[in-house]
Amino acid sequence: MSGILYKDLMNLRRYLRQLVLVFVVLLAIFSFSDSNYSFIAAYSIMLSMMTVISSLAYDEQAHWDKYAMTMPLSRKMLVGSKYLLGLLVALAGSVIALISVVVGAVFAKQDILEGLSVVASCLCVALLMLSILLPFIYKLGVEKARMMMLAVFLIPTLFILAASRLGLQMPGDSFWFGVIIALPIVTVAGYLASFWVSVRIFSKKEL
Amino acid sequence: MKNAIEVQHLNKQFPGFALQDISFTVPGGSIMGFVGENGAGKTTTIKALLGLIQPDSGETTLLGLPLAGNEKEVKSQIGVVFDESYFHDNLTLGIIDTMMAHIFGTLWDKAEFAALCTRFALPAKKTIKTFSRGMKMKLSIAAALAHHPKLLILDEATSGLDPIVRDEILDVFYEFIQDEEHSILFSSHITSDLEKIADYVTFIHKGRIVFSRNKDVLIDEYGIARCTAAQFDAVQSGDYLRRRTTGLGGKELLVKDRAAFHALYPDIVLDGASIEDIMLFYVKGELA
Repeated sequence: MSGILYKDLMNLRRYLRQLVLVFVVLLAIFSFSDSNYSFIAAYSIMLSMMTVISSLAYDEQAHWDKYAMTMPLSRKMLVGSKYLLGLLVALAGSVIALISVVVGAVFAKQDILEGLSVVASCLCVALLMLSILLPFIYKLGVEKARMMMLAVFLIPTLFILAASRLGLQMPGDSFWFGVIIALPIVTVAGYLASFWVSVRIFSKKEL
Repeated sequence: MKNAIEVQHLNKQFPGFALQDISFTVPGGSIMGFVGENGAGKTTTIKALLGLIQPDSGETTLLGLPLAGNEKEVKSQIGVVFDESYFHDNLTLGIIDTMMAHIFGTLWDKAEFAALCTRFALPAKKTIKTFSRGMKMKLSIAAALAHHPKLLILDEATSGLDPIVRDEILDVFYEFIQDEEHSILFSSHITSDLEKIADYVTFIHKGRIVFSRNKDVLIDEYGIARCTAAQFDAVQSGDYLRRRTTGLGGKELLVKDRAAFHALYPDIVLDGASIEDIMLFYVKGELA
């Protein structure tokens, strides 16, 4: 497992470097303005999710799965490595987002608690999106799952952005409190269930 | 000594194509050439052997073990080379080395991998993207050998390479087989490569095994009878396998037993048949 994860990270090393660079630039811009940093939190976590999709696209292009299955690796391990990669990059994205929250709190006197809950929610939403996406990718391939990907990424993002920008009538504090409690539980359950489904799909796949 | 590969009554149905009742055995310590035209079912059979596809029925063993339940044990003792390199474009030899060491654990021999890469003159610092086709194939072979497998499965590993590179690669396989415990299943449509190194030949055509035999016996026994139209009329249809019509109206017949055919028809000219001849008769010739 560690071997495949290492391969994914090394294969994506240029891409990851670019992501970090983009983030640094964004952080610099946002740090000197009063803009809402939740954008940067969402952005960095979502971009890190794209990393998993890219790694799957690379694998598909190289027929990696077919080759990997000639080595002492199980199909469960191959799928597991992607879920682990997803978790790792999402956490890395969260760390970056946390930096922006801290920067925002220190320099722009923004509310750190609100910032933390934004980062945590973004992390959960990102993992939930991945939970929906990955089984589709294993079933249809990256190319065919692309439309699905657009839907999964765009609809909630647009919804959240629209809601926050337009200042729509938000439900009360108790509702959000409930969401914050429930979200991590739903995320963990969803991620595990998605892993199980993906393993089932991938086990039957002809490589 | 146990068999390196056993395939028994393997069946797999696809839309428009089927593997039908595939059975053959690769004895331990031997090189089995697996021949057939493109699309005959060579790759599909190999995929079934490796568990990449699920056969509808039939049984296979690798190194004496069925794959189910022994996947890790079996796969750590085999090396597989496909017709292309499946390493990602952005990787380098060093990254591949580290990755494989993680995957194969103590079985991975870093010194062996480095020695093979040096022997094949593979550039250490460059990414795979910049490798030529020959270099990629050499890399795949180095990667397949560096964990000291007992069985090599090669699927068109020399196809699309120039004769010099093919010769270099065949040398490596030849060295590999010097160890009596080592075996190779070598699928190819380049029959001259197989004639050089194979001990046995299995011929697959339209998803069925036509024969699986000792190569020397095959080349000693099979023959091509070249007869005129008049001579052909005298030949019983049971005495040959396939026929082809030549440009001048004569017939060429593929016969299974040269000596027996000569005893029956001493006037007809008989030549030896190469694996390529035999393939051509089956693919393009007519039934007796």
